[in-house]
Amino acid sequence: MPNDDEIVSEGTEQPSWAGLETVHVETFSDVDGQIVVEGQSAQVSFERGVDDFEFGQASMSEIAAINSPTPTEPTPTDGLPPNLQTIYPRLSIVEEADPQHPEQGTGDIDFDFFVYLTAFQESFNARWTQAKRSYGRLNPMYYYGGTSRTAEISFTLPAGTVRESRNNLNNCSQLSRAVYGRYKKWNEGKDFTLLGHRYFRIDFGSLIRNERAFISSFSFTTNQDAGVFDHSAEDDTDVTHEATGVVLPRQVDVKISIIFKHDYPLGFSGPYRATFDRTKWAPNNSKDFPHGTGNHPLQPYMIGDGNIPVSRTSRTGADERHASIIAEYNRRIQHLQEQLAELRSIDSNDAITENIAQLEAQIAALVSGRDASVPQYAADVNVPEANEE
Amino acid sequence: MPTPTTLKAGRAGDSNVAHWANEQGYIIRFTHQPTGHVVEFPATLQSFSDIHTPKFSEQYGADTMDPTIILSSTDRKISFSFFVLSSSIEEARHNTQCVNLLIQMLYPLLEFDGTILGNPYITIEIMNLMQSAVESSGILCIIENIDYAMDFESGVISHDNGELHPISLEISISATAVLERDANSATFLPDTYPSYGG
Repeated sequence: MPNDDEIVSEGTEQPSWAGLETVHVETFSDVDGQIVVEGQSAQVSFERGVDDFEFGQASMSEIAAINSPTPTEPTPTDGLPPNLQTIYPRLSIVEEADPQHPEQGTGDIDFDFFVYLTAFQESFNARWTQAKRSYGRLNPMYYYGGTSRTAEISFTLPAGTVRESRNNLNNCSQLSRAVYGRYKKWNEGKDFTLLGHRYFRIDFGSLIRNERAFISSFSFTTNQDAGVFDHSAEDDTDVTHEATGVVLPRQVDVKISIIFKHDYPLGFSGPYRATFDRTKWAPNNSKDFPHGTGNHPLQPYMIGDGNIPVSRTSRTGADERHASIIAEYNRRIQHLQEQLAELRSIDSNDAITENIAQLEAQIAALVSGRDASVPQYAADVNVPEANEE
Repeated sequence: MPTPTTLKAGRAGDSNVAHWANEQGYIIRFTHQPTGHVVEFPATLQSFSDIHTPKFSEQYGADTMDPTIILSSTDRKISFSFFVLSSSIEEARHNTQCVNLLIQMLYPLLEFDGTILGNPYITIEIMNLMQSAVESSGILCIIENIDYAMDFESGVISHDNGELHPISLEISISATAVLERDANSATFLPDTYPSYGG
């Protein structure tokens, strides 16, 4: 008797290389206790429609096959052929102004391209430090310092034509400048001063949602196995070019590392949530974090409550927030007072007396909290005008 | 009133994995202490390690072969990884929300002025592998790192609005356990700590 590992069910197996231009199908059958495998190969054409690509992963050979235009009809691919653009979201890396020095301009890097994603990895690191532990103490004191988010994206830029290969190289040139600093010219162009690193706004479908970021590394690799477009003495064609000493790779692999610099508060509750429910997500923008979920309904704790985002240094904002806090205090006090009146109207017993005492204590605490919010409000608005930006 | 959320990955679709995990009680549960939010995943564990490391010093005296050991403390580091599997776009979206909540648990509770009010302590419960010796819950931890890695060999689920979800997503977590004490116990550490059941 074969053991479980040796039992192979009869049927047809379509292996993972089915996406290549030739499909190899193996048929298994059981003949007199022996497993017989019959192989069959067939040429396939790519007839899959756009919708069929919604669930799955396109192979590089599919891209290459679709990406090879006839010489008379060059196809602009914008990185990937249109039908594959429905699978992979557009990667947009646009340089933006330094938020603290917007007068220095936005820079010129604007990478906006469909890419063939090969790896995506994110790391969320909570920074905890441990204090020195005294002898015999079970746990050290832990101090939390924040949570940082980094990502590594690897993607491939395939080229079916000379023109696409040149485009890919141009885009990589542009993107590679992202990891260099920005310089300011002075002294009539004779000297330069380093202004600092570049800020970017990165958008990549549901995975990176228009976040501010810093690019911490860029790596560019040509895949020599994929080949290059060779020189020909004639004019440029789709597959040859007239310039000598120029390498135009058919495939370029790129890897970038990103450090996110979120420009909104992260956590629960916080300054954008003027509410007593401290389980709500802080940004208050009705947007899933960190990854998007399309039109899937938001979880209740993620839903924005319509409060106006305010900052501590905004006098007008502080007024509005303080008003909403006072209103919330009053609403809860009134609610408890109604409960209290109801309890007092019925015959008293020990349990009711205890409940009344609890309600009175809660009301007293709320009144105290409401009154204490007034000096806090005064501290909020009492900031130097110079800081109000 | 505060309304903590409880999310359960894999429950939105027709995943056999979630069904089997639920039937067997193979569940990984995370509870965010400052808010009470809870998220659960089918325990498709790929790796699990729990390392207890004593910190001690050695002193050698004259004419003694072996050192005198002075123990100062013992640390417990836990690392594990698991898959989050999705079989449809709806399930992928729900699972993404579950993973989102897990990642959000690394962030603190904030005061109205943006300062930190509650540190992001998280209780992790993994069947009998991570269980409290004092309460019927998991172990209080500080999670130092969550890695989110898409497995492209398994493919992706996408939508033309820019959504891209992995069919198979690997989550790797490294954490440090906060050791617990039982106030009612006669011993300093609970008698059953640490414990892996059995």
